[in-house]
Amino acid sequence: MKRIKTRQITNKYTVRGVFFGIVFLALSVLITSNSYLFVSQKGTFNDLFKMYPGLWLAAVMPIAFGIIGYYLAKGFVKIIKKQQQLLNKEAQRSQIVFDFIENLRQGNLETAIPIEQETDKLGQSLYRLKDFLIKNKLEEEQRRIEEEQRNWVTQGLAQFSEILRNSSDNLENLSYNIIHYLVNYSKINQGGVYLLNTKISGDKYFELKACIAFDRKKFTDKTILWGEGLIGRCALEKQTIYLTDVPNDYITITSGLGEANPRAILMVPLKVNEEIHGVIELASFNLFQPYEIAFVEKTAESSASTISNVKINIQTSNLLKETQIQAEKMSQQEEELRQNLEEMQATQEESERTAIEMKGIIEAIDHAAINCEFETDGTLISVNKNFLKTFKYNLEEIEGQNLRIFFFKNDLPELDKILADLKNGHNFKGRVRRRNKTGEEIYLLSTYTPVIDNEGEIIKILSLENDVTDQVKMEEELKRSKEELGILLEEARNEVKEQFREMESVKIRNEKTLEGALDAIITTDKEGTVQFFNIAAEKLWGYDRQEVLGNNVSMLFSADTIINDEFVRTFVTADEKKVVGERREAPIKNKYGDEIPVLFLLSEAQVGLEHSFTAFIQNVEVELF
Amino acid sequence: MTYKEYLLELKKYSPYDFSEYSDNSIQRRLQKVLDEYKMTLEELRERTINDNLFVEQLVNDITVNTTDFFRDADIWLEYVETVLNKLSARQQIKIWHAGSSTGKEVYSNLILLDELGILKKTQVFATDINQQVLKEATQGTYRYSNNIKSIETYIKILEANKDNSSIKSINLEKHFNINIANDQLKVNNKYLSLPIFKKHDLVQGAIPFEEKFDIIFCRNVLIYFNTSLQTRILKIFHDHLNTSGVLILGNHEGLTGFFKTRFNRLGSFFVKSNSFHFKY
Repeated sequence: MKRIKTRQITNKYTVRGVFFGIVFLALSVLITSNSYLFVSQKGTFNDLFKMYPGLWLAAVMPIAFGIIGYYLAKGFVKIIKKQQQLLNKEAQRSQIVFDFIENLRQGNLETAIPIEQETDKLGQSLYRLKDFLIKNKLEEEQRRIEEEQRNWVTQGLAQFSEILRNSSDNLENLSYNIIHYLVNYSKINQGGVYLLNTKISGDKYFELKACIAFDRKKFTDKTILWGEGLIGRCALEKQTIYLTDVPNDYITITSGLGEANPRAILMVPLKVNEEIHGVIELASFNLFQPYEIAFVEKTAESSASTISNVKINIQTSNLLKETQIQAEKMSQQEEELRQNLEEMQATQEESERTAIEMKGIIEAIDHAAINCEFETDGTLISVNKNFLKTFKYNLEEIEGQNLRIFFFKNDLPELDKILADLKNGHNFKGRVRRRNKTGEEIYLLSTYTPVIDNEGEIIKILSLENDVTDQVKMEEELKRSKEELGILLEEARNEVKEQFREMESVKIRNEKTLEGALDAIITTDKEGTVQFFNIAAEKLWGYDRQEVLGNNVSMLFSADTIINDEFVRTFVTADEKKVVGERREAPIKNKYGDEIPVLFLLSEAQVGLEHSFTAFIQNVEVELF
Repeated sequence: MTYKEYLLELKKYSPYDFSEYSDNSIQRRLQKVLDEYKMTLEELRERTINDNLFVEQLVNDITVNTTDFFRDADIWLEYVETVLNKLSARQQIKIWHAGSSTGKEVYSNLILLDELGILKKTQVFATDINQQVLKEATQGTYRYSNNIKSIETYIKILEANKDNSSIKSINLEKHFNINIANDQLKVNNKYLSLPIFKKHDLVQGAIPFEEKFDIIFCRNVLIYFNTSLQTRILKIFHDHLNTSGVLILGNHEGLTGFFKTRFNRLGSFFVKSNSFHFKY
């Protein structure tokens, strides 16, 4: 490298010198060629040189400069070479230092510096530097570790807070998340969260709420009494317990590869405000570092706090639910109560309606009827005004009396019978005779009704009566009158009979008289029926009287006569005005059809509307002697 | 708008006629509904006209469904001795619970019929205007804490009258499924399918059954009706009772008008008679 470079330099400078000379020449030529003198001469290039002889010098310049350059360069080169040597030396030394520093940088702090350098300043500085760096490295390492641990703790706590925040509703979830995180983050093998549970009876015990990698044996020990075992002690003392001398079979960490004893066990109480909420138990194949323990303790604090909050939340929500249920229950009960009340009120109103009806009925009864109430033995319980009025007693006189006082002595057996019937539950209805205060008879139309209570017992007898004394009296009057009338009628009848008999005897007398007469006498009624036909008439007509009596009188005359003779016609025809009181001659027809002239004398007798006619008949042919 | 006017509107726009209910009672119930829904009477009317489902809910809210197991234990005692014993000889007994509410009365009856051994020949029908309580009745599930008292009261009375009664006691296990933890009292499944539950409004008249009944229960229903409505309903009962059929009303209820003589009294109950004759 050196050689070429030196050559280069010399060449370069030589060339530069030559070049410079040429430039100088050119410039000179140019200047002179442009000078006033030359231009005014108008000569050639050669003339130029003649005019200015300096130009010849100029022409030598390139060479001169070239040579100068060459020698200059050489000189430079020498210097450079010298310098270069120095530099190389220096470089060597630097390299050693550089190597040393590089070693330092790379951490090979023990490499030695070449002895010759030890004494000089740089060497000493370097040594000091080396020691310093060694020290620093150690410190840094230390700090790094601490920083890492701190970060680990901080990050862990931050993440942990996040976890705590997110599982704040359910103790199981919370416990599981806590232990899960701890085990994973700490890269330990096994852990469990025991939470304190206070039963209503006051027993305190720890319940394994969540666990990781617990084997079955331990898993079944889900409850640990307060103060029992290590967990208990941890809680009691409220201190972390760190065991590195783990007895066999205390717990085993199970995995797919088998079981093994943990190397270290850490138990941290979950306490906040000096109140224990539980214990975290961690087991690992490795020892726990102090910072890890500190971490767990810090988490334990937050865990305890969160657990406490969750418990409170659960309690609160339970209380709320309870309150809700109670409120619902109460509103239900309220509704029930209200309905009960409504029913009672409606019942009462119904009863009131009935009562009003009853009241009306009772008033009507009281007003209209004689009313009293008595016991089954006849003792009076109460009476109404009508009763008093009818029986003519005052209230004081009646109070507490028995019915007997209203009975006539003879009627008392009747009372006994009535009371007996009533006792058997039968109603009594009928007309009765009673006596009032003054001993007078009164008659009543009575009904006695037993009032029976819910058990079927007779409470009292209700009596409703109407005073029918007047009616009875009237009845008796009527009866008496009827009797009297009967007698009168009998008498009258007898009289009439008597009269009839008399009339009859008169009639017979008359008839006998008429019978005895020589003249024929016939009697007819209004219709013309023959009523009487004496012997003489029998002789005259030849009829037996049985043949004529009851028949019409027209049979005694011939048809012609009836038509022609005025007297006969009127005589035989009903409702015709008869010829009365005059003697008339007219022919009769006898039984054998003979017509016999006779002399009639007709008389009329009228009794009321009854007309009867009597005809006295004389034979015309009076035998003259 | 007055209550009466509203009820007429309700009658017009829905199948429900409350206009003949007892004035005071229906007013109180309507007022309760207004308070609960925070409505005025006009708003209620609006809603009634436009919303059928609301009307159903309204009916459920207005009706009073108070009922109990073995309500008025003495009456049940008398019922067993006087009525059931008499009818036990029959081939078939038909019973109608009008206004059966949540069914407690129905199941009380069924239990007694079972105890007497005549459950198999009994047909039981039950109606109510309130769809909601009818549904509850079909499930036969009630709150233990609410109901155990009345059942126990009846059992006590049975024990006190042991000597005279046909039923000595009620065995809770036999007739109920009890779950105290859940506060649940459920009638035995065999009772659930027996009664025929139907929704029916007594005011509308025609009942959904063809049969005639031997016993009709209608306790504390008539008290909510005015007198003329009561009489109409008594006629329905009278028409649907067999001869000598028994009508059982509430403790403070009685017959109105001519029905006073169309029924005879049998202790606390009413027996249908066919003529106006006096008993004695």
